[in-house]
Amino acid sequence: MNYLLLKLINMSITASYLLIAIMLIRLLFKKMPKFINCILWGIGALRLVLPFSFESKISLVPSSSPIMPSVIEGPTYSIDTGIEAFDLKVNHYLADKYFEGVTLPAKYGEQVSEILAGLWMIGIVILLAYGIISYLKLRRQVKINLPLSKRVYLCDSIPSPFILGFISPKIYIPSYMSESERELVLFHENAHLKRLDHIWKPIGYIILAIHWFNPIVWFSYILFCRDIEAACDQKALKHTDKQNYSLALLRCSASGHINICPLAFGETDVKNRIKGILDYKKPAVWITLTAVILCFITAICFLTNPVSKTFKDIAGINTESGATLVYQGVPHPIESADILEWINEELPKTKISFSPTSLSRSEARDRTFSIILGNTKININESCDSVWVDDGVKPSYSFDIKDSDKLLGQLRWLMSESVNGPTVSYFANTKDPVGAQFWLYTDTNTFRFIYSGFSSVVSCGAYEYNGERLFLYDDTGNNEVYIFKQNGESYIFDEEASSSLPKFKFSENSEPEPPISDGTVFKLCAPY
Amino acid sequence: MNDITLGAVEENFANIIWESEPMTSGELVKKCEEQLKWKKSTTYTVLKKLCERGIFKNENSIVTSVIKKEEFYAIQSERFVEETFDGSLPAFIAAFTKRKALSEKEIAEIQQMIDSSKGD
Repeated sequence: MNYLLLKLINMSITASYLLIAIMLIRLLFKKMPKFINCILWGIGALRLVLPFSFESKISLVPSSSPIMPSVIEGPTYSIDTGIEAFDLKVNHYLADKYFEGVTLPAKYGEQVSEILAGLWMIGIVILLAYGIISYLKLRRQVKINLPLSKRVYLCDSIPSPFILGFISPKIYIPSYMSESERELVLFHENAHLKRLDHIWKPIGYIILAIHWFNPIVWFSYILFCRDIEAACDQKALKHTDKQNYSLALLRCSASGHINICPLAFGETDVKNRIKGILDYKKPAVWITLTAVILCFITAICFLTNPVSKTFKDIAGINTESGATLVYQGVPHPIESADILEWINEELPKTKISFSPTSLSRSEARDRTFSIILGNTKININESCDSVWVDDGVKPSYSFDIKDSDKLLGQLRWLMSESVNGPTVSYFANTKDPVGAQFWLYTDTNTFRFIYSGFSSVVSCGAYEYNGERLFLYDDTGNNEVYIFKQNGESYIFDEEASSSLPKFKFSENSEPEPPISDGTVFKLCAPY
Repeated sequence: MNDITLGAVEENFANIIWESEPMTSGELVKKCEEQLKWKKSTTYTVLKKLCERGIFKNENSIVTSVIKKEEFYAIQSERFVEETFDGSLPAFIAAFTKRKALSEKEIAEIQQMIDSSKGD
């Protein structure tokens, strides 16, 4: 849920660039037919709703994910809006002030995002409830009606005409209107029906409910409603003259109140509407054509995302001088042809943030995974969300890695092939906060066993499996043996048969005790 | 004086009663369903509203009018003259005849009405 909200916020920010552009276009090109405005808003709506997009070189969107997922996981917080100067300033400030575990409590990002997710849900519910209640209230009001013709009804108690209903929409007209006024109203309302406004407007409202936290979306919705009314006015003027139409509009607007759900004739800023009507001149064909082309260009520029920066942009990647993986300080040459091909073809495509997360060139940065290709060292941190490159001349800045889970999986694959051959690992939850884990290296018949995070030694040596029991023969100290009984895909610790484990104090008030008790179940897990 | 007015839709409904009264509420519901496509609940709602306004009454499921049709329109005309001609009927007739002279027949009719109302 947290990540869903984050993606939504990113979508909202990205769409806001487009919405602002649309507002500017509207301002600059007032002579455009209003239905073009509505098409532009439609493009804006698409951007607000589509979670995916294509990349193109002419995208004018600065960045497709301004707020990185690392904001939720921690420990560091950074943004990537694509505007480098802005990013660096903000990231510098965030790195100083907000570092999980040091200046903030652990899981700070998660807690905050959970609260925000809750607030967001409340917002949506309120807005949707308001819409539904308004709709139902109007439905009740128009029950007392006089059918005039197919789809048109007369009502006593309504202040202005409107349309109600989505599947078979009906037009309701106040009974105080004269027959000639009614005719004019019907030109406008039928224009709404022909343009399917009774479907677009509620859809727009739902999108607003989803993006309620974004004031730009609110403003866009208000402008969108105005443009719909103006477009229908322009359509209606094909059948009648401006003076009569404006007078009818004036009469209706006397007692208007904003109805968001239905489509009213007399609402939204009557003065501007009348001005628009009186100023309207049918535009020349070339103006309309230019406007359509403008729409097209806007769509391509803003519906597509910018081409991402990748590893290729910060490091020259090729395996001509060989490849070595250094994991936690231990070097492992890479020989597998598959992996070398992956390094040449796929690794350069790994996407990173446009802007660096800080201006540090320190060599003391995390290099849990270090891929060494000749003089170039690609250093990646433990959670695979940050990378910096050392080309032997000058270390680069650090960049956020996008889709770090994917890279982590790929590096694990790389390790399982290159580090100590086929490895199996078993993990158990114990009193110890990090649990206990052992690795069996099947091609050398050796093992490593970490029974407690508090221990300063790692147990290792040879192992033996007799079809029923697993024997770990420790050769680091006093020839201890740790014995496990197999149970399906798991191993169960046999305390009685094994050598005794060192004792540790696991909490303030407890006595020292061994980290693993009899019967502790070690389950098969991923090696790293 | 009570504000006795009817919107266009209510007027339609009132006419149904004025034309066929007295009638049972069941008959009224049926007629409203035929002519206005109203549900039973809608008919009863409007009937109740107009009874509260003192125009109709519904006793033991029999619907009758308290204010008859002619009376109702007379009240409307009175109000119109009150509001536009300060209650002066002569002023109203002067304005009316300015645009359209009265025919011989109309003059005779009016004369007769004046004569019969003198007695009240």
